[in-house]
Amino acid sequence: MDGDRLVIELKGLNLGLGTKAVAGIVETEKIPFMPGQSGFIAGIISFRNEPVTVIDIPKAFGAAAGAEGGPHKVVVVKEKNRHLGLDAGSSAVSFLWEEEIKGLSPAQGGGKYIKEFIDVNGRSIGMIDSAALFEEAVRILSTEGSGV
Amino acid sequence: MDTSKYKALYLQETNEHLLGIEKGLLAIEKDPAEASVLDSLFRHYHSIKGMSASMGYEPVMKLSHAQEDLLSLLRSKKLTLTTEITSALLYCLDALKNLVKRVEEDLPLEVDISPFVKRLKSAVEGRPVEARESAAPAELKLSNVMKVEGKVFDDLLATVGDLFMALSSFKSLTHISRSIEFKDSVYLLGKSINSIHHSILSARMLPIEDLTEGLPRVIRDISKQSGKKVELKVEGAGISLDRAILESLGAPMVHIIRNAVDHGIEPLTERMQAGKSPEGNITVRASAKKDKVIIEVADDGKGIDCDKVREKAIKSGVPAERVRAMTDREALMLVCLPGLSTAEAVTDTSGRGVGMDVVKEMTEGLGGALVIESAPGKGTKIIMEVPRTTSIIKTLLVRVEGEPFLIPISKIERVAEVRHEDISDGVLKHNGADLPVIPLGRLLGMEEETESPVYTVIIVESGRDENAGRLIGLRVDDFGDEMEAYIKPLVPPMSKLWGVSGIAVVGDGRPVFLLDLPQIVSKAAHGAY
Repeated sequence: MDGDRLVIELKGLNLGLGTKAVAGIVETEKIPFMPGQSGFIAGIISFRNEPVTVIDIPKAFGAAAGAEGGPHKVVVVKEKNRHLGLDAGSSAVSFLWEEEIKGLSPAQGGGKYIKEFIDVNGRSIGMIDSAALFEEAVRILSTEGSGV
Repeated sequence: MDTSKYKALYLQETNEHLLGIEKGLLAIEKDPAEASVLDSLFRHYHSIKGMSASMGYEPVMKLSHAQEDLLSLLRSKKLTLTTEITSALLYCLDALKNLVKRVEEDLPLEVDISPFVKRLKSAVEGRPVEARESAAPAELKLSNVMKVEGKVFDDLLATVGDLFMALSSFKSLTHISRSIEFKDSVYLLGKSINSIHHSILSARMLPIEDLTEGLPRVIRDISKQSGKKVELKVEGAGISLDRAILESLGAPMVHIIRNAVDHGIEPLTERMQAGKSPEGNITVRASAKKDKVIIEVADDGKGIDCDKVREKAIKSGVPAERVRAMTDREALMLVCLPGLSTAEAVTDTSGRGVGMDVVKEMTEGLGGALVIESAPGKGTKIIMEVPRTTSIIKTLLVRVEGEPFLIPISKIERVAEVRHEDISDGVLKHNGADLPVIPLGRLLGMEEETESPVYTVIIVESGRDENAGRLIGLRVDDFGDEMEAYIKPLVPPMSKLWGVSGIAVVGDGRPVFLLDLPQIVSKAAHGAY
């Protein structure tokens, strides 16, 4: 495995993302409302003056946030020139450096939005499939939010 | 034909050709054997000749024609290039430049070009001439007209959008600042940004004619295929629209015209039996209404059979009870459902049910509206209402359950403070009429709003279709500043979001949605909240 990983620490579930796909992290007290938001859609934020749809990561993965209170940490990922915000709530966000995961063999998926798992010193980390999350967000906002 | 509007384009292109000629003449003077330079020179002269003839600049046309003739002799090797010939061509090139300059300065073009033609003739015949060599110019000059890529204006407009948003932050600060200097500076900044905005917008405006001038060819080709005779009439083609909007209307327009020729206009015998003129008529009519342009495409064909549309819609899966409850006007809009076509024959160009859905989507995507009117035996009229300019629009900031939204000012009739008890069963008495008042928060799927003794009601035009012309009230918590907002299009995953048509990032960095009033009013009219 190559490249560093960003890790979102939910309660009982660690989720990872390649840092190359991370455009930035935004901290905000409140995530503004988006008409028709439902499912795991959390709202919208602006990132570098561009609007970005935000999804609720604990809700998408059926886990609770790693910590209560405090501002929302929104990890903005770039998916084929499009941005998507992953709201980690107040969960801790940490990094795994390339040296720590070099030579590790990932195990195949295990969930709708997890591509693969890696095991780092007995700690299992599910690698997020941001493309699948994006497609699901498109589906939700085209149907449930369609108002018809 | 009024050619004055093409003058800037003529000058730009001609100056480029003149520059090419100068380079070419200097190159063949050094290497007369270079055939490709001769070919290129020939093309330059030929282009100038053609464009000048179209514009009616006769002396320019005649002089370039004379030089083109000389080039033709050189290309066919009937003549060998001499220094005298190159000098004569350069001499005449200067004359061409002067003539083009006179065009640029709107000076009369009654110039005697015979001495120049004579000089060319002498050079061809190898006779010595008394004329002097061309004098070197005293200074180098650039053209007043620049060729700029459309994207540059798109970027400039986006930057002005950001400036508007920054300005809105400054304007908010002026409310709490006591500094007169600061307030004055913000005022001046606003004035400058407005001025840049208007300059960019005017540079982006193009007449509808740029779009419609391609239609005669489209009609010719389709009518040839279908064997029908069709006359096209265009009215209001001088009205200008933003380039991006005009460009987006290209495909819908062609689709509507194709539908009209293929399925609207009847065959000759049918028209004669119906007492109509042998040739079908299509009229494209543009008119301006406030900040909108209305483009109508009307044909005098057989019209759309509403019953058939209903039948097809039910067959394609639309609930029968819903279809039967529709008025004829609503039912006509069913032709915009994907895959629904009432055409009996599928032609190469239309009748596949692919198209009107795209036309509707495209029009609404521009922040506009589509309406269809049709009368059996009389014809069909497709009406597209689109904004004249894009991106930066005047809006009012309103708040619902603490969330801000933008409403286009052009749609607002008035804003009223209304007591709770004055709204009875969702209806407010306004100017003697019943005004439906809709709780905007509930319509947008927000949490149930708390009751208040006084509400702010934004009275807006109630949209299109069967609601056109009526007023409706949107109940909000309060309203804020009027602002010029730079509206960005909705991109995936929210490109098909209901109830909003765009988004702006305001001065403090918050993303704020622009409400899509026609959609909202349509939902409210059906009681779907």
